[in-house]
Amino acid sequence: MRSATSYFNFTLFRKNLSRFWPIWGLYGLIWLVLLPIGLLTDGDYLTLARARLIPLQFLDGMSTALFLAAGFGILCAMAVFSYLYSSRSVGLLHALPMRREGLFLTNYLSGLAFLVLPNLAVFFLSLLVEAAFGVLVFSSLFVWLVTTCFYCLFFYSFAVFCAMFTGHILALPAFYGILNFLVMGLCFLVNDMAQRFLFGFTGAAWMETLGLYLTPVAYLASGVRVSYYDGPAPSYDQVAFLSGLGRVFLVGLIGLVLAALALAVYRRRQLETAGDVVSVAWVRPVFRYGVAFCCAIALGNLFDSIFDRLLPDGAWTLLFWMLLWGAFGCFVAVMLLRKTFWVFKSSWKGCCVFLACLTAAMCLMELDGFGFESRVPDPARVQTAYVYNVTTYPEDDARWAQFTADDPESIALVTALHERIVSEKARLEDDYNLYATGYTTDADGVDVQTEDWKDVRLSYVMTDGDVMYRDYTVPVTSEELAEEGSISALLQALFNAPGFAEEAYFGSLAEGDRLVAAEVSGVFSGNQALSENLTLPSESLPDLEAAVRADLAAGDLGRRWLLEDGEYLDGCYDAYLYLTYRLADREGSNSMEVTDAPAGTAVPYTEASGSDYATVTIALQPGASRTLALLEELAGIGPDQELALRTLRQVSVHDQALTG
Amino acid sequence: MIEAKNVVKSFDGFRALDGLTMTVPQGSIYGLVGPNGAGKSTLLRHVTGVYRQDSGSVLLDGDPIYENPAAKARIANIPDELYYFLSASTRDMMRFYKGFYPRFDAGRYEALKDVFPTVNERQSIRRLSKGMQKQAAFWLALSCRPDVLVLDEPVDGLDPVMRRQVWSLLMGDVAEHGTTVLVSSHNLRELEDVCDHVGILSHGKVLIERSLSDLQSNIVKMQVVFQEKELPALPDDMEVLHVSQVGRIHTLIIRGNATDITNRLAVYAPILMEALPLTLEEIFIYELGGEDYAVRDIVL
Repeated sequence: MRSATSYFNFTLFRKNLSRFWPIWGLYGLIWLVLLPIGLLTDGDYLTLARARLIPLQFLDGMSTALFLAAGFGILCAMAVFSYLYSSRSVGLLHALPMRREGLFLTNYLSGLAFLVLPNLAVFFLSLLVEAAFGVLVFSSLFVWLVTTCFYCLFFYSFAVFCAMFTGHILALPAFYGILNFLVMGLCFLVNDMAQRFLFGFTGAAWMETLGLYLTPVAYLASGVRVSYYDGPAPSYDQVAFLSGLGRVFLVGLIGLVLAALALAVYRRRQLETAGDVVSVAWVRPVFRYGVAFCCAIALGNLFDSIFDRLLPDGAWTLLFWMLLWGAFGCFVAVMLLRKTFWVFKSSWKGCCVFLACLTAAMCLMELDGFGFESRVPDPARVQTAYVYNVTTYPEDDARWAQFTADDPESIALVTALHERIVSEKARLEDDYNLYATGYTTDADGVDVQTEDWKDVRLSYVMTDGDVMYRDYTVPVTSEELAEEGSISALLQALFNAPGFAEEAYFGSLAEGDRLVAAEVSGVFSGNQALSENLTLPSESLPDLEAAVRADLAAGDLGRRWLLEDGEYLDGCYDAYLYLTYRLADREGSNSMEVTDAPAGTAVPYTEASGSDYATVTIALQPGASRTLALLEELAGIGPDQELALRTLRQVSVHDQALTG
Repeated sequence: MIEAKNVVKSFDGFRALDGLTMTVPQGSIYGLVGPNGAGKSTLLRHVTGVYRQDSGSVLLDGDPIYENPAAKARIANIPDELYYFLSASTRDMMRFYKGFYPRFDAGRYEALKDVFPTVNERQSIRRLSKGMQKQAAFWLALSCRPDVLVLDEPVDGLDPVMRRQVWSLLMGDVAEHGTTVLVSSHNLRELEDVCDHVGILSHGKVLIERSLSDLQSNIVKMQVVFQEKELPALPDDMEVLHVSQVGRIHTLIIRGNATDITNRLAVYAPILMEALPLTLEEIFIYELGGEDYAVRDIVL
């Protein structure tokens, strides 16, 4: 008959507490100094607001509580389950008249008590200190206690879970540390590797999300923050609160699940594996090929970047390094598993199979076995297409503008560009290292740009809801810009498509937003060297806005260039029009957002200048006849006037004349 | 009674126990002998409920031992390699065992102080000498008042006086309380003095399992001087385990009863014939000779 003592033994619990007192003693001491003594040293300066804030500050983001829980969690697990790592100690504990469940539960609770009991003690001491100073904020300290205990529960349970898979005490912290960051690291490395092998691969957004969610430290640090009341606080001292408590409860729950899984593994554990790096049979091949894969991508990438100047750059060189380090990882893993260096003879076959699989996978990617690189969506299936991350000139609010295509004509422009890039894959990959920014000096002695490279990101939202992302780096040269149908020409044409400029400048304004001020910069008086800004009369603002919009619609304003070439220098004034809008009330937010843009797209071009205003900056261009005529009428700015605007070339020539 | 039935245990493909079957009668002192790597310690770890067998069963009075606290509470164990908590003294470990073994006898613990006077019960066990650590182990194990004592190389490290004292205590428990002692040792002369049952293990199986007297009466050493110098052809059904010759004296190790063997050899009218009993060590050596584990004359 099973008794309750089969599942928990107080003698063992007490023994653990007495044996490992330095661990919980040190943990308690650190918190004692940080919290109750910290409050105490605040003395007379300890107000209700500070008493509320101090405990919460230890939980903010990459916090002290997070580090202590992660660090002491593994120490506690190592201590209470250390007996599993020696055949002698495992013999003593497992010969005792207890079921495995009892041993596990007693040891698990002992380790947890190492962390929770000091937390409780610190909590009560802090309450006492605050009460003594008459600034008791129970809720803040209670949040600290709950959050810290849940952090401890999670990290300790995770460490115990790791402890069940190894028979070596030194392997435990290594596994714990690696597994804590494995997913994020792997996602990063796999993304990086795939970008090298797959032309146009942008990195999978789901991988980044997965990495964040499966990396506990990052997940908690990014979500558990001290927040401050935006509006009026409930009372003068209640200015701060902890947000992200849902995450805290979630990881606590996961901690319990991990503990249950650890028990399941422990019940089936073969105790003769004490001393083995991996103690669970089915995990051994996972470990072996996992180590090999991680070595291949991590060390492969590292050595590829170290030797990139000595060896030819490209996917095949990377594959060479990956195979080399994959083989290394494979043999090292076997050495660790078998605890001997002499493993080549018996494990070369598995290694060869792994390397063959790795080669096949990489070749499949590089040779576009999945058709990823050559895939250009059928325009008829595209609902919306975006082109973003391309820098254009002039340097106004449309500089980083995103091209959004949701009509068949515009979509066709994007797919045509995409098609052209894909068709020139070989050239683009070969020339990748030759991309440069180049200038030449023209007859006026002005530097004009002749070559550059652009990062071009494309994303398509399909009619069936699918999303497709691509990222390319393309060269832009003056020769190519002159060549019809070239990548450069297509890209420049895209950003000069009708309606683009107006959308780029005014797209984020809503109905009801009102122009309240306008200013022109770059106004020169006579032959002055320095320009000045001129504020335009408020009564003329509606006319000004109408003129600007008319110029934009007619294509007389808002022209974009990919290079700072001669055409750009002549086609653009070194003058900007600043249009300040008072924003109408927006539901749920007082900042301007592009809500339908996919993740990673360009930011809105208008920036909030205060909570209720936004300013649109537009570079003035000689062709903007309506706007320029109005400026002449309103402010006397014009070629035959006292006040004048200068093109970029004129400014450059003028500057050169001044500097001799 | 301890029973192991068809126990199989493999380590990374190596069968440490290969269908082992063994019975240890209640109240007996059972000596487990066998060459290195035969599986003795592995078997003992199954008997103490530490290892889980791949197949088969290990029972104490019909109940499985593995994951059975009731059965394990009746078993005390002294392994070959002792382990005690860092800086734990004998007294600390006494308190520890007391929390686990319901029949732990504190009175006996106090009484045994006189048996192990050299062991300082307040000193860390790890700081004691190897022999003293063994004494502490016996002290604690006997205080648990076990029905079964499982000992792996138990007196290794004890001085002769202490060995005799320990064996005397064990035999006293066997006689008074019917304690069953399962002991694994390479010290066959010592086992011969204390064991009433013997099991010889080889390659993960029990080769022979009998009472010591049965074992000794079933194998005989004959020293014979025949009429001719050469050994005559012996009957095919006579199981001769070993033959050696010094001068004209032939030494034959033959399986069977001494009287029967003497009568059958008398047919050859030997000049001289004497039947001698075999020691446990000789039985061990000659029995394992058939298992390809004979003593070889090695010249380097």
